[in-house]
Amino acid sequence: MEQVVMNTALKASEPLVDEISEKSHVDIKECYQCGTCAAGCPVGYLSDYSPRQIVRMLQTGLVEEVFKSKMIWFCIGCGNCVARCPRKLDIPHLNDTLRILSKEKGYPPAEKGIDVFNDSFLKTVKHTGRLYEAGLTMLYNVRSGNFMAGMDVAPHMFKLGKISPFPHLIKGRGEVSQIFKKVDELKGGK
Amino acid sequence: MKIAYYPGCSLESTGIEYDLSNKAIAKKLGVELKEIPNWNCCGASPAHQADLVLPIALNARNLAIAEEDGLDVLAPCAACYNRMSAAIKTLKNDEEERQKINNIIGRDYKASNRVYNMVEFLYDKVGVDKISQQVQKKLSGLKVACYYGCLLVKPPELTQFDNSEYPQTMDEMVNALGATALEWAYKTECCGGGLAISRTDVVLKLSNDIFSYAQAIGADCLVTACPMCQLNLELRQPATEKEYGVKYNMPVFEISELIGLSFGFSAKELGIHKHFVNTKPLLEEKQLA
Repeated sequence: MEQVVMNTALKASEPLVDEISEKSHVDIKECYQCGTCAAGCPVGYLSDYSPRQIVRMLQTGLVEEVFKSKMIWFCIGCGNCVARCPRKLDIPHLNDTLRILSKEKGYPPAEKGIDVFNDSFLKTVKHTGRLYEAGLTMLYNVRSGNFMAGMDVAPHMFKLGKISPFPHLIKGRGEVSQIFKKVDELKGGK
Repeated sequence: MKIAYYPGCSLESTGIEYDLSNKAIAKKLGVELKEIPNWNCCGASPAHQADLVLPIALNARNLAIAEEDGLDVLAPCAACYNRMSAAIKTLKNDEEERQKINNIIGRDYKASNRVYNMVEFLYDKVGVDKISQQVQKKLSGLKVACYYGCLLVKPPELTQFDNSEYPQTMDEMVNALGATALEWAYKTECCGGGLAISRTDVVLKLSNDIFSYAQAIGADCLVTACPMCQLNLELRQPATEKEYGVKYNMPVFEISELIGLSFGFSAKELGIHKHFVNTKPLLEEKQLA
């Protein structure tokens, strides 16, 4: 990490930190850095920062470093941290919000595969109303460049008749794609 | 007793055995499952990771259809249950948000109904006594590690069900079937399901932690109430074994499968032959096949 002058960073980041607090409904000032979240985090072992460090970085104005971090992408939303937090900070929801805002502000996802997976998943739901597993795998593999993802287990799945090559098209799928469209319109675009 | 049934995407594909078992035991327990017509995907983790409004809207549509029938919802998948609970919590407490979401879904959802997960429904609404009364074949000698996973009990402010660190409702039910629920510390540790495709290495590490503990306490199998946990832990078991040089060969059952077996249903009726880990040797050894 490059050297930063703390008080300047803090002042400059204020509007952004306020936006994060407002959208996530998480008041980062509440955190007194006990580290219980970090101790129980199942993805902490492979991440660049722990959940505690993410909150501390926001408290000290290092928002850009947070937007570039892997932790906001690795967070799996298990809820260990929020269940144990003595101040009840909803860190999974904070991470969701940080992920969304970082993309809005133009930061490339630090874990591209996770972003591509989420996007491919939602594309199948938008068009069919439900998850379309085979379609998701094809989309993900092509878009992530990880062509063999899931291929070790796919034959077993087909053999047991557990996944179908075809989507489950529901009757209300027009209604579902309308939901996606209206959500996009609210964000003012696409 | 009648309840709206929200199977979710997994139960019509990778978690088909969970769906079959739920339907089989519901009949015996006098529960009418009314599937929500034309339900849509809850958005799972991708929706809430990608957007703040979309996950609420997707769940509000399903909840609104059930509400129109005056019904509460049973969501057997822990992930669906968690997302539905989150949507209800927001829409109950934020009138402005509720109106915004209703505009998006084109319905008038009042947030007057609630959602149950499978364990909660069986424990609180049906009751362990009623389940015990239907047991025809005790699951004697079966040593079970009850694996609740994360989304069934966490965060507690949202789920408001059992204990988030050491839940015991499923253990109590398993014991009522004549099996033995074991004490262990990994009941609510995450299996990494959400990263199964994008970061499979995480799943291998987390599931190895879970299985090595279960094996150390002498468990024959795991039991869950989540098709994501069940799929993840069985499907990636061979890769986990290879990565860590171990052998588990440990089936992961859904709670309704074990209940179904004890009610006298055949393994085939419950879809137990469709597991990724071969369940036959264990069921034959315990004379449950």
